[in-house]
Amino acid sequence: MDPQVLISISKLSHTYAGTRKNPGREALKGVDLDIASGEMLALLGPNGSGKSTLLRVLTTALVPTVGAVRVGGASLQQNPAAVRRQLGVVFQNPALDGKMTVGENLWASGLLYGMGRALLRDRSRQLLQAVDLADRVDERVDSLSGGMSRRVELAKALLPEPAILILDEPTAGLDPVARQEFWRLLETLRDGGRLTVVVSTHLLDEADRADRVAILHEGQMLVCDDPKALRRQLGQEILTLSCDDAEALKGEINRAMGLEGIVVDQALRIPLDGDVSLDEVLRLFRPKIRSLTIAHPSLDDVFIRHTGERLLGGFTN
Amino acid sequence: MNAAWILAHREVMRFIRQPTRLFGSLAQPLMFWFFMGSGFAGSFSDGLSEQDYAEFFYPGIVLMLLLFAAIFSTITLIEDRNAGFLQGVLVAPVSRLSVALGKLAGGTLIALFQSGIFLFLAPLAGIDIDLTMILLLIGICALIGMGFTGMGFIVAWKLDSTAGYHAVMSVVMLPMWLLSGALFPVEGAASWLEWVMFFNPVTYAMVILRQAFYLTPSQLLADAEFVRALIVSAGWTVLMVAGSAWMVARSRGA
Repeated sequence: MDPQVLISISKLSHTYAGTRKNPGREALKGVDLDIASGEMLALLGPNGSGKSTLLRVLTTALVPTVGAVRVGGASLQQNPAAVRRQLGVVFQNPALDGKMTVGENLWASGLLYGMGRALLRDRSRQLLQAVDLADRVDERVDSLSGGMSRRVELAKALLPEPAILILDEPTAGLDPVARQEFWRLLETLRDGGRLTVVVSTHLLDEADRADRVAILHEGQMLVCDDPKALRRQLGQEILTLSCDDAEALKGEINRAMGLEGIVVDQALRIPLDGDVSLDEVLRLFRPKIRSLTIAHPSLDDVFIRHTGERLLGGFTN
Repeated sequence: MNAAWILAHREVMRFIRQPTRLFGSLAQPLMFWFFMGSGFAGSFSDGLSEQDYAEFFYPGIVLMLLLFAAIFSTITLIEDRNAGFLQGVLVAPVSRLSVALGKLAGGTLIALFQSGIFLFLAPLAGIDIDLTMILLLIGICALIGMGFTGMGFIVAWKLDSTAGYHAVMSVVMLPMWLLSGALFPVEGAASWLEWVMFFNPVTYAMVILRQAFYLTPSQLLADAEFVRALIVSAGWTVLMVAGSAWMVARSRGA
């Protein structure tokens, strides 16, 4: 195994047990993934794609039905305690005690992680400063805004200096400003790449910030690579044409110019390479085109390429 | 073990910050004692010639307070699960036993604190108290409290609604308390009731608690009924604590 690999996941599958009325649900289907020390990996996928299940397995909260996971050399199934010592976790739902103050939450959490008092005091102060909450240390968590309590969660997770930080949709429910702020802090606190970060999201701009993006769809990992590389594979630009009959137009353009497009949400999307003439498209098909967009490929296009669906589902399906 | 202590500490701190919980838990037994004690006193006076009913009923009320405080302290387990605090604890490098013990110790301390306040009302019931007795009673209350906090924990671990927990526990706890000898003595009850009371763990808690108000430690240890009840109560507590720890330990993957 590559010494740089900190988390190795092989053939991971999980099926949630069914009940008499509901059959079991296969949430993960044979995921293989190695995560290197110091990298930031984003798990991108729509709801129900298996992101949360994968993260629950990584946090030791869930024992997978099939597969092996090793974290820093320790087997997650055989030695969960050794795995827990390496993790800091920010859950999708808050994990703070609202009746306790910010400082007390950090204090209790640090003690649970076995930190010494002097170190705990210093580290709390340092982290609260880093997340701009030093002046809120004596306020109850209940009284904080959503963005602020997320920042407390981040400080709490980083308190015991974990090797790995796991975040499950950490910005869900936050407004765009608070989201930006959270990500800015996360990038600052990565500590020059010493911290390994695994974060799930269904937001393209968040996934774009990671070193690598693993795209999940219906429990399978479709692709995992640098987001820039993923987008580059789709060519220079994506031409999106909206028209009355996208399927018909797709066939016509293919016959006339040899271009392969995909119809999504009643729009035709065509990857453009350098030698395609846009003028030619317009000359031949102008009357049928209602609107036209040219853009650099996004991770949404990557997702469409692999699934034929939009990640951020259109209004019609 | 350190982790258990931190969790217990948090439990107590949360209790102190919600004064309505303290008020509610003390006001109910006080009203029970006052109204039921006064109401029943007349009808029971023949059977209890030497003891006035308020005095008979007093240890029963202490037990009620203890039971309900212990059982309902574990409602916070459901709150912690729903609020998300519990998941944070479960992914921390903390032994599963500590998670259970922390909650149980916290619940027991809260129950002990509430019944402790009530113990000082003993002179109102015509029972004299001294330091030895108070210490002995605190020890006994701790044993009983731990057992029933454990019972609450086992039920609460499986439930996800505090309202449901309240409904279930009220249906279970009130009969257990009523049929423990708290309200009327076991002797002289209808024989089928006597059988129910025989299998009711609260009956034995009632015996050790009631005796401790009247006998010195050496007299207690010489009393066969007390010793038998003490063994049953201790066994119950061990069983419930072990059950709680088991629930936490087997919970991964749920």
